[in-house]
Amino acid sequence: MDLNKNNSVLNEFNLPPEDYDSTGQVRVLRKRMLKKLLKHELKSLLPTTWIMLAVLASLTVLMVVSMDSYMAEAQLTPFLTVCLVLYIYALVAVMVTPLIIASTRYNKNFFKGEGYLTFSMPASVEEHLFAKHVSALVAFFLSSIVALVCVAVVIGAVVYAGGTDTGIIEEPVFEGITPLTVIEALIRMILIPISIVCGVGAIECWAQKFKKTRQIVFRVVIAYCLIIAFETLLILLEEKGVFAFFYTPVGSHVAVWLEIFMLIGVIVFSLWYEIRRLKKKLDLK
Amino acid sequence: MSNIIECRNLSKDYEDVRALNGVNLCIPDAGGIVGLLGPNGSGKTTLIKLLTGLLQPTEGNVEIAGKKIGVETKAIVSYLSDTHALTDTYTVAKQLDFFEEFFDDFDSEKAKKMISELGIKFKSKIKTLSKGTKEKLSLIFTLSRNARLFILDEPIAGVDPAARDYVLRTILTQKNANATMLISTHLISEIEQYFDYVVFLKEGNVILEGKANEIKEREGKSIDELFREVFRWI
Repeated sequence: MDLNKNNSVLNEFNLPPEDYDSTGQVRVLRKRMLKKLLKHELKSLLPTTWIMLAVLASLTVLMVVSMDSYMAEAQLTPFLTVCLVLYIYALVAVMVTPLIIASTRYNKNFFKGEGYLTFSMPASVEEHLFAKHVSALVAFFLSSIVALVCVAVVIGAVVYAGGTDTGIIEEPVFEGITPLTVIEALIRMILIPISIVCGVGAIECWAQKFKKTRQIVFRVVIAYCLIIAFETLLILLEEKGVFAFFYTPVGSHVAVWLEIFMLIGVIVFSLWYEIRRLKKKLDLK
Repeated sequence: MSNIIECRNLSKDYEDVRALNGVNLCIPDAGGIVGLLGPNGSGKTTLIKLLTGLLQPTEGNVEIAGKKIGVETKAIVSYLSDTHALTDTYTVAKQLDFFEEFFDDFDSEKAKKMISELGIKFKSKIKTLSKGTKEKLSLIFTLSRNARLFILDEPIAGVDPAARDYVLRTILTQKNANATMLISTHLISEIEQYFDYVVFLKEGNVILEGKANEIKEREGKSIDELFREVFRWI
């Protein structure tokens, strides 16, 4: 039986053969579903992100305005101290919020009751994952850019108020920059958020193996302890001089490329694990 | 006549437990209501999850309208799960938009009419609705699609008798004449008169299948009586 002739959804397209993929599905239909999923995810994720960004922007303005009082008294006033603490919290929150919302939505949409509706939609697991990850990345990049701009504005205000006395503009920040280091930095800037977003998804999938009460413990304790343990190991090895080679001119590039390959590995493994879990081992509660 | 559902040697294991054991099942594409009957733990929900692509078989094949389970079959199957699957934080109107956006065969006007008849406010958040109303709402969304196959998992279990009447009435009045409807239940007496075809599942095996009228005539019993006889010791 030819499904395309019977299904009103597919039948509305009278397309040439090249518009059908190997499974006989209409490419246009797939693209349209992907667009819809992406739009839906962004609409769900961005409102909270906007609120966080608005709070950060307001605190930035407050910091800039209160900078004059700091410069006049040459010490931190209680008001400015509170502003500074709030500002640091807001910066961290802005960076973390999109990931927390994305991870919560991931869990709710895929593994809770809503999963029944999610996976009965005419979309593949890959399309669902693509929409989730891309929307999380968009929110994450947006937050990062706004956070960077806000920090730059505050630093600019400090420099403007205090001039060269602050020492900030005397830092040799542009020393040693070559086209290769720029390329390396750009690749890392792209890969790090992608690996974080994919890693969060994989951790959510892994957490489902545990009983409900233990899932939070798993996420908070085990996942983060693993990261901290890894970081500690790196520091210990560094103290022992294991990484001396990486401080040489050639070694520094080798270190960056090792990191890049490691990030690619994390992304590939996370995606493989997520797809396997959602396709083969789905167990909705 | 072609088959709307075709399972060949279909098995599903959950670690050490075999939930479905080499099921061979062909349900003709004749429209009508198909009863998937069996006690708790007989494999009804597992079979439904395999048909809707929520689970992958351990062995064997399953096809809907001649296609392997995938995006294409999901486009023609409207599924009502036995678990509350609507988004609690949405309003009824937003959930309606969701269905309209993602299911091309969704008849929004039909859904709006049925929701209005129930007196549910479109601005109400789904989490504020009672359990029975949520189930009715889920049923409305499911039946408002112009699908070829409707799969309803225990639609009348866990609701009060008044709500049960509403569910049954809605199923019968809103069902598309050309579509096939697979209903899993263990509350047979309430619904058996509407079955055109029945499938009995026991411990993961199909032990009986066929046209409801033929089975009733052959056995000289109602489906409910037959069910009680078959599953007496379970």
